[in-house]
Amino acid sequence: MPSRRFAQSKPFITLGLLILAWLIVPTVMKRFTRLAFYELQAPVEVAASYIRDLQDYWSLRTRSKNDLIAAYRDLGGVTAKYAHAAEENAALRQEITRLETLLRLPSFANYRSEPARVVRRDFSGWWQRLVIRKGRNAGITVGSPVIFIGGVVGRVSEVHAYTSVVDLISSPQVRLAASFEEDDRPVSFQGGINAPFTAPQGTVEFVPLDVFASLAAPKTLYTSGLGGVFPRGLKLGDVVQLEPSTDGLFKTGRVSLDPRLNQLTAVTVLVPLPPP
Amino acid sequence: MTLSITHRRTLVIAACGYILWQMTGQANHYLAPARLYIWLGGLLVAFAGLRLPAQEGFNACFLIGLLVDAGSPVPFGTHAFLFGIAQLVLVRLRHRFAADETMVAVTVALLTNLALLLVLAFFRLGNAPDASSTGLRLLMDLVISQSVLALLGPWYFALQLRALEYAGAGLRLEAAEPI
Repeated sequence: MPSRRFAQSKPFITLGLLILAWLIVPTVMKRFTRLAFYELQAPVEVAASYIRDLQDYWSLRTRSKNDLIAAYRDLGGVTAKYAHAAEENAALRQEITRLETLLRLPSFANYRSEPARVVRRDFSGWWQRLVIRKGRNAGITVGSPVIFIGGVVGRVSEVHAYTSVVDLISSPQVRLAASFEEDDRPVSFQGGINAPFTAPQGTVEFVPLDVFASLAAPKTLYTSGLGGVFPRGLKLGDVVQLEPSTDGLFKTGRVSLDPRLNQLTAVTVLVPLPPP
Repeated sequence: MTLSITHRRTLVIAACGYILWQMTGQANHYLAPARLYIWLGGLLVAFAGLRLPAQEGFNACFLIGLLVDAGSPVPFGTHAFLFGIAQLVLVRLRHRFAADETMVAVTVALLTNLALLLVLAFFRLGNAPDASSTGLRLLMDLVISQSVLALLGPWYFALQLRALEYAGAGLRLEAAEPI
């Protein structure tokens, strides 16, 4: 009878021993195995994203020539506007460099823009992440800020050979220093749990008591530049609710993020450049 | 060089699991704008737990778990061990019901999925900033996951059976044995 009982519980004993062995295995080994499994799967995900792009291409091919002409006309206006902005930007950069040299100021951290397509969106109840189609091959580093036309997307949390993983600002794991427009006092921003069928949201903490915001009069939140990850002045979202915190010293509130975060197809990674 | 039937079964079931996981990933990509999420861990484990010999099933589930872990921000091995434990529990219980019946298998997959989701939620609940919205989100994800599982379950079991037959490692000659 005892031998039969042992035979019955043998798989569980094996599992227990396996768990024990797993705990003893060095972290380096586990990390290597994880990376190996990830890189093994990466081509499948990237291939799926290329197929998606191809689908988009063929669906666009079904559009009429009139649509194409109208889009070309609209794009012409936008291109002219951006060309002017680029010229203005170059002139301002020259002015900043001149002033830095004149006043012997330390220069701002410089970034290189690296546009990347989104391979996969992974928005569970616990995390909101994007996999993008550029990694170590494009010089992306862990912690690099990621932006899009509506402001901050998030930051790079993992870099692989040809892909990177970006934690969205709506993810509860992301916390960063922020500030309001024309108010340098830093506040703390954190992503939140995002309910189904809603726009992405976050929370703001340690807001001074003299700051007011509501749904009717929202206040825009920007990155403060503190912490050294995100450059100053990138838009995070609009604070639509502020209430005194439980200790009464500060206010906490809700931040409404750009709804386009839910359907991103391309982003820009700001890769920090080494100081000259 | 030819693989033994044991290894062939493990690889075929792991490959089917990987296909399902990738399909779920693609579905989640399209569901992301609505902030919905499908998780079918129970379906990945059910066939291996109900129909395969214990060792082959465990190997397949552990392998699928490692593949899932590699792409998830959880400690490496979390899904592998959860799937392994779930498979062993199913192997232990399978002689009590008609494991060959598709409806029974789907029901078992639904219950396993619920149990695994609750265990994962229990592990991660401490990190959640707001318990009420977390609960709502989890409930919605659970409802959609269970609905999709009930729809996909019969097809997925048939896929695994046929894949095993095509690989020359079918289950016809062996009955599910209790341990």
